[in-house]
Amino acid sequence: MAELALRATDVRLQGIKKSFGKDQLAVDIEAMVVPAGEFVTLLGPSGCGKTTTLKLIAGLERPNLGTIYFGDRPVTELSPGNRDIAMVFQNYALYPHMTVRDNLEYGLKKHNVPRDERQRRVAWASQMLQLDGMLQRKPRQLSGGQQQRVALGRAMVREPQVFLLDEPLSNLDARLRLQMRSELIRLHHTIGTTMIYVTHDQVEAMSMSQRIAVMRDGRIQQYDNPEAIYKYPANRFVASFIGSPCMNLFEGELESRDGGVRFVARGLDVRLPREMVGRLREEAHADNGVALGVRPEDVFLHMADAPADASMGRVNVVEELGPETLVTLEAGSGEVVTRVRGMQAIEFDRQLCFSFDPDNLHLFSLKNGESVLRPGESSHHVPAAPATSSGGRTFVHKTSSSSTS
Amino acid sequence: MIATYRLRSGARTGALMLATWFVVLIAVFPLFWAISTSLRDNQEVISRTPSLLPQSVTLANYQNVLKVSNFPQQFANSTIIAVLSALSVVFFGSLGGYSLTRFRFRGQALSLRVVLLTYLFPAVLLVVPMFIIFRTLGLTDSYAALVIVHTATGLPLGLWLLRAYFLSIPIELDQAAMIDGASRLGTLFDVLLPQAIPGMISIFIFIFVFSWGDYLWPLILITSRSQMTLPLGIHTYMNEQGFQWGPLMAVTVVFALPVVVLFTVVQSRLVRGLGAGAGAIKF
Repeated sequence: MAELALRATDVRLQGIKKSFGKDQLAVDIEAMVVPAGEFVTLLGPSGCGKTTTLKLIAGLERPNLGTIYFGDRPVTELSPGNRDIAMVFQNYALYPHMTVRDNLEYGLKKHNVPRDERQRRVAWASQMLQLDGMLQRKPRQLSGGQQQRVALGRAMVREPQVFLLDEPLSNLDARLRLQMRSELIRLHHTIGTTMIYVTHDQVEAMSMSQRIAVMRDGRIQQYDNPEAIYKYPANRFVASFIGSPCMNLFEGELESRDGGVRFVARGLDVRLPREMVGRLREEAHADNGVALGVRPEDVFLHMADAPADASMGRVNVVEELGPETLVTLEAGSGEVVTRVRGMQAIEFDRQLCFSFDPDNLHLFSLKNGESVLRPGESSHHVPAAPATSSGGRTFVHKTSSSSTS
Repeated sequence: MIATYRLRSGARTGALMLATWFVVLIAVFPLFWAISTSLRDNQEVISRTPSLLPQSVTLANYQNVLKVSNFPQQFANSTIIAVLSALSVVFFGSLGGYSLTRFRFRGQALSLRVVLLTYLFPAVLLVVPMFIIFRTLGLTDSYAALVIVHTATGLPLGLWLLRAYFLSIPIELDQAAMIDGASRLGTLFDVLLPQAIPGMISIFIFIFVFSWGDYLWPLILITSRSQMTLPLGIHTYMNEQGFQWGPLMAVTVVFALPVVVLFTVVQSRLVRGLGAGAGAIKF
């Protein structure tokens, strides 16, 4: 497997623009680097351009502008077959008239791989994916999960430089999806190839990826590791797209008072911690309209003695999920969703005090939705893209004009 | 209740069967009569008291047809022309169906409609222009003329049907093959055509039967005896001296044979295909 890891290459997108028709810009990516051997996810709602981006990398679509590099090799003009990639499709796209073995071998035959080498690779993949007993079967005789594994195997035997996956788990039922998720993580760990994965499922993205590119309207909203995306969302879209249930957002203003900065909204008056004030960007002071974001798990409920800055809310919905309970409060500031550990028997209509974890607050400009905070220090925080030979911009944060690193 | 229902449904089935057999009888009787007549001798054919079955079975009419007439030549002509026409419609239809579903080009939708439009012209309207065209090209009285005409008349149907087939094949299959390193043609031959085989067979049979039984175009385009197709040959048994019923029926039986065999072989599959809504044979 060691030689496989060596074959992994980094993928760079530069100034990529792709439109279908006249004014519909499907993909607009200034710069993006997928480091060699990493598992990177393109995440976004449907129609955000993530699949088109993957097809551009595969060569199934040609960009109107821009260049794609595998390592130092520009591949924009190469046909898909010459790019040394493999792809797994959402509907698997197995050749229906061929046996599993023929499906696995087809790409190898097309690349003139000698017979014994083909057999070695098929044996390796089928053993790894537990396909041994079904090599002589046709795809329609297999279950969805088995077809999925054949599709993975067909990509694996090619030993490609880049592995592309287009929502490969979305046709599976929930249990199988969970199982394949961990198999994919293990697979990536074993073969170490660069993997680019497209999904609209944030759980898949968070659990599998080393890096996530959150996309909307063809643009990358934020490109970073899962922790940074969760902890320091670059804008309101990323903040509300990642995390379930959604981040609570309150619209209000920043006020300098009592020697500190406070966020004030209807029914809310929150003192910002000193560390956070230090991270405030200039824009935060320029216009006063900001949105305060708090994740449900960062809202504390107080049954008894509440701190001085706590607010009041009336219990509206209680959802007991087992390991945690979601409590929705009706407060002066609007609905507040909180996540509490364990099963909590909380009566409806009860008045409860709540406060926010001061270390995990988010602030976004009301004008353009951008975060008005610089990312904090995190031991796990890595720059969104390493320096490359191209010397181009390494951090991609399209919607913000200022550099974030 | 149940017993009454059963009784009723039994009666219904019986009536339906009766009606079906009646229709079958009407359809099959001429064929039966042709076979029966072809096995009688001349005396019996013109006998004033006809019987359903021949009194004495004879193969003289068949011997007559095979030995004396131009039948073997005509049978060969018809076979060659029908097979070539069917093959060429399948060939052009699949290439056209592929390009119409896999490429985008200027006038795509229009061309598809124009093709359909040509299908709407009655043959009578085209007879004279076609004759003039083929005479100018020096192609009258040749296989080529009939193959071209039969291809031209059959292609709209072939193109539309095979286009529907290619539409039903997910584009991801093409993409998977291309990523696997197949060329456009490789994708077509390795991946797409195998999926379209049922449609191709349907079209082949359809065009074969059409070309095999066509009377109008050979009548217009063929003049010499050696190039005659079977339908023209059959006609030679009807002339001013009268009808030679025995040999005529023998030729008719042999003429119907390939079509009957073809349909018997694929009939059950054709029905299944139609039932599945594909309008074609499933293998």
